Amino acid sequence: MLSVDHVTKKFGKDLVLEVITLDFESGVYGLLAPNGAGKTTLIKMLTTLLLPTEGEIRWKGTDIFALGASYRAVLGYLPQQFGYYRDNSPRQFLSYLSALKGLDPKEAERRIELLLETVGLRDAADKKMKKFSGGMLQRAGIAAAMLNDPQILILDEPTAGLDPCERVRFRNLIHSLSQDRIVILSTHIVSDIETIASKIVMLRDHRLYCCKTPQEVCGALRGKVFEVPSGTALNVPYQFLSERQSERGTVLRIACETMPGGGTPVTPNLEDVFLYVYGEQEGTGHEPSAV
Amino acid sequence: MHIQMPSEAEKRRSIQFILDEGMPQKEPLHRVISHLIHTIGLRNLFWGTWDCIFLALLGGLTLVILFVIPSAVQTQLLPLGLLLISPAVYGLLHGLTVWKERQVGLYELKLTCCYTLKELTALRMVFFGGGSALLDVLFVLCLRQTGTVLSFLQMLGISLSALFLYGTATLLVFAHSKSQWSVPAVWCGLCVAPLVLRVDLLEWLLRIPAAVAMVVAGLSVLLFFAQLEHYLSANHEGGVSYAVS
Repeated sequence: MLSVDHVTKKFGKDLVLEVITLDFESGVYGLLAPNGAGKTTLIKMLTTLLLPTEGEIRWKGTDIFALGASYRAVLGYLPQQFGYYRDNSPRQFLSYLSALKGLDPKEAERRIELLLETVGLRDAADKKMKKFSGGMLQRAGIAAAMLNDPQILILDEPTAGLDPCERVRFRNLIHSLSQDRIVILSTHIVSDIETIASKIVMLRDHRLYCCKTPQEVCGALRGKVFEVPSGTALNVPYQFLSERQSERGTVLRIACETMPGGGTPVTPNLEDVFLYVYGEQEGTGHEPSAV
Repeated sequence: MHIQMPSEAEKRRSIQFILDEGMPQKEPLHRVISHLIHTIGLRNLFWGTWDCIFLALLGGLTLVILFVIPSAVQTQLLPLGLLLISPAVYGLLHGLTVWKERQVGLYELKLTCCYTLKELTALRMVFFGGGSALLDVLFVLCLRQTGTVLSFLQMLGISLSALFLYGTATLLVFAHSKSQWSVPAVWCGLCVAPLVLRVDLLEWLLRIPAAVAMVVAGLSVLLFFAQLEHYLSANHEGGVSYAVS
């Protein structure tokens, strides 16, 4: 188990994260929050790039900074900005990284072939990475993160910059790799995780907002999300969530405690929860209730 | 009922076992370095940085040529060359490779590997120090050919001291600051200051016996490796930026 125990992070006087307590076990965890909420800071502490100001992060009961190389040996990390040597092929690049990860050369060769097959880069294994598309590079990054068959796989905004087809492919790939390991996927794109995450971790106001299953997270808004035609006079306090086009014109999606006149109740989804928790407030103001 | 108490030898063995498990001995630096070289290999150690090494050596060679010829005519340039050339080569080697790691975008990823970028950097520093020292010897031999007032050992001692003191300062600053420019800037300032203040540095250096110069060089090397050991064992925050997102 990977435990985050009352972790606080400050940069000088700037508070970024406050008293975060989380336990991670096998499964996919979606770390969902808008830009600037502290996702990457939390990720960097989990990957030993940053030291907590207070609190401890433990792997199987031992502080990860005390474990050092033995913790990093079970860690796979794909950073937000994935770098590579442009003139390397994926096979050369993975071979180099496998040396840094302390893998036996013969075992590394076997793992590289397996991973290139898994991520769909077998045909491009010997082509220079400077010719790769964004999706191919991200897949190479996943292969790099999986080289040491990590027990903890941490991906920081892995689908940023990918087109919808590549995002679907990437999601399926993550889902296939998530058996018997902890996968922590940081994103602000709800669709990345709503079908594959077993738990959603949300951060708000520097603190942990919730760590629940997608069903529990969406269930907190059950009976509170409605669609109304645009232009409808709303005489109840509400929070605007989103809008869409329908055959009958623009339809607004709102959250409120009671059904507005002309409104249709709808099943809340993860995007509704995201917009409800982090969105601007309209109508008569109110604090979003805890999920 | 008679309870057999452990003997003194058994007690000492148990205490030693508890201490060994609870307070493991720090691995000596030479064993750490030897293990890293054996595991990672020289090819992987400098992977992706050969262009930086080539440029740094080219820069060093240029500096040597720029200094050797004029210092034969203008002896006041000699101390400047001794204090600047080898630190400049080392600084270029270290600075360019670190800069490239950051530009390529692999800096953070490498900090999370089993053998981290910190260990790679430390090992590279050992090789860069050794390489710069070799170039130093060549530089001093070239200077001797021009007929300098300082002896070979005096010049070598002064130059090696400058190299490894500069390396120590780089290690100290690198562990705590992202700034790559503070040490080179301060070092250049300190070396140029005597010229600007019209202090006869050559006169000062002439008074240093060769043996003293070599002893100071030896102590500088020891200080460098002591700082390197501290750098490897300490927990420092890595990462390119303190991203708040």
